[in-house]
Amino acid sequence: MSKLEIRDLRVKIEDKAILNGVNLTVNQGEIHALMGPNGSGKSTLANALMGHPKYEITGGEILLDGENLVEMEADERARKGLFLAFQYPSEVPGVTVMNFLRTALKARQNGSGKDMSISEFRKVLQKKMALLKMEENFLSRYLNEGFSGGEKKRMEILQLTVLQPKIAVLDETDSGLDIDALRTVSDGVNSMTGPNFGALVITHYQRLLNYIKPHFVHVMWNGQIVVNGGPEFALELEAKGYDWIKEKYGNNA
Amino acid sequence: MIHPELDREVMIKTENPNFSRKHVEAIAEWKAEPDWMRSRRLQLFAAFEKISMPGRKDENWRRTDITGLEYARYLAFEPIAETPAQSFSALPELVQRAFAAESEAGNLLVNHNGQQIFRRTTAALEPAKVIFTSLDEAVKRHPELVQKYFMQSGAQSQDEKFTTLNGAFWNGGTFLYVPKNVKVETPVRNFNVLSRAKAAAFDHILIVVEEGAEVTFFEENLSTELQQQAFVNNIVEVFVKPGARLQYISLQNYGHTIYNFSHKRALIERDATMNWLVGTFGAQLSKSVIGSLLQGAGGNTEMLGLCFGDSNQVIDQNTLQIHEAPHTKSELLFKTALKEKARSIYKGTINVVPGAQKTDAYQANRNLVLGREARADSIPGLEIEANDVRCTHGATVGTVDAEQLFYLMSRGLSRGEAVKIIVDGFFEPVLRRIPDEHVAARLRKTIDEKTAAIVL
Repeated sequence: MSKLEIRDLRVKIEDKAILNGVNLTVNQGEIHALMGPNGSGKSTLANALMGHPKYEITGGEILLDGENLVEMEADERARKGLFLAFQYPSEVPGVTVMNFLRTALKARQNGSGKDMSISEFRKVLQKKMALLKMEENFLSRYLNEGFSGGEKKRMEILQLTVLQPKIAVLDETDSGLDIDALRTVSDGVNSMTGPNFGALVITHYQRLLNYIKPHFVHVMWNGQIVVNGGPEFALELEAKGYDWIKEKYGNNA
Repeated sequence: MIHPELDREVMIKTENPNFSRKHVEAIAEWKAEPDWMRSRRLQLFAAFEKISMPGRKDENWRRTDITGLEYARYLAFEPIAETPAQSFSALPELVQRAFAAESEAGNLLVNHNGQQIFRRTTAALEPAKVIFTSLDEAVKRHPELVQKYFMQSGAQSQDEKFTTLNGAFWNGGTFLYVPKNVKVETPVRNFNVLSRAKAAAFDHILIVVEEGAEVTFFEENLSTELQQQAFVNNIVEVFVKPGARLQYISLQNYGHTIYNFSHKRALIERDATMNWLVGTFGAQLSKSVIGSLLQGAGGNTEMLGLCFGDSNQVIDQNTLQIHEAPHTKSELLFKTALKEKARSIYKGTINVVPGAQKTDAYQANRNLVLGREARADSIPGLEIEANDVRCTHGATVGTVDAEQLFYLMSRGLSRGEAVKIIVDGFFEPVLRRIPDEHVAARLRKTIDEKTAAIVL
């Protein structure tokens, strides 16, 4: 069983400290929700975990199955089995979804995967796309170019299901989705859940957690995880808001 | 690139032994040319001598310094006969490599150092009276056609010095003539291969597509690994008659010791279609003019450019969309990627003459700069003298976006793979428009060779 351990992680951007010692362990088979007010450092954590070059890690460790990822570039982390569903996915003009997914899968499998023919691969995709209510013409569109917000999010989850990571970080996958799209995207994530998949689901609102049921809920504030709870804690937060956390843990961001 | 210290006077010394009237006569004599061509050459030589060398004061030469290009020290004339290739497998290696299989080589003409060494055509060409031969042969066997079209596209009215030089000294080239209403199915492919150092190659391509006829012409300009410099000054003259259609594709992939000036120009008549795809990848310096002159109502041109520079290459492209008749349409998309210290200059002109109403012209130049020391300049221009027209243009210069790179790498693609996919994606909208798959594959492969090693 794989696990992602975040130990005393400290991160800064352009000399401003954003994460001030984050501790969290995500085991395969577990869904963790990370909540918190805007600006608390949730997205920074997501990007730092994946290795965004703008985020400088000044201390701590990110361990995947005991191996420290901190010095690795994003591609190496991905090949180790980490995945990030982006809040704002980039557009890549001229690169079809089909071509991109094949290239990414090949990279993820590190050359060890069996060579699927285009028609085999297409079949695999058809099933996954049906689950996400994506039309087949998606495959010939250029990656994220001209996609609506909802299409981009579905594209992220399609990649998740194709690349089959050990641990995934979902960064505000619910933002900008209407209720139907939210359900569809959640179905995609839930198709992954089981003993071989762990996830850190970052969200501002409790709404998403009606569809993706977390085992643990954490609250981030001022670049640290300040409160931990069980599934019911999300509802409590929804009712109480975040102000009490700001009061209790200080407001000096 | 070019030694800036050299005295420009050196270049305009027309008494230079390699570029004299005597040499013009020697070329004509060695080729046993008819008198009319000989006198045409001498006429053009006289004009050439009168034209001053372009310099940085001339708008079209302002951004590319050719001071120090001592073209006159290159050899315009060497009386060496090339050995004909008896079979496909006897062709120069770099020509054979362009084909995945010999069966792809349907209509093929190979000129080596300006001389035809191989020619093969599909069975359909001869009965249809399509002429596809070296310009040398055409001068002898189809003089009435060559006389009618040679240097008649107005090529010498632009960049006069070098186009006129080509007219006087042309020492290689190809002639393609498609008679009325003939539709040539298999693309016509032409290789112009240079393997002589210090040579001055003056290829001259002449294409005439008669009324209602259709053809695809694919030209490749290649050189072997030359240790010394060489100079190529080539012209493509195209005549597309009413209702005719030409798909022209070129791939210039000379070695980096070559200085290349080229001038391509099409006269497009009523309801005719002229589609260009100009691929520029090689040469130390490549300076080209690509022009569509829409002379008849309903004329239509698509102008696509693919360009990829590396090391310290300089690529200077100048496009002309000249609307001389009403209801004409031009659509231009030139894409340039630059790595390392490569430099590009794009200058585009849309010119709508008085009376050319209902013109629809579009011009876009997109540049992707992949090297910190690479640089792209883009100068779009409109000269519009009619009032009921639609003309738009746009230019962008960008780099690989850090977020895009991170996004792709987060999916497991190495930095190199991520850059490659971005570059491929950059060129894809142009490549996608090539109807012939072999031709498209050939261009993709040339791009792949350049994307193999990009260090950001």
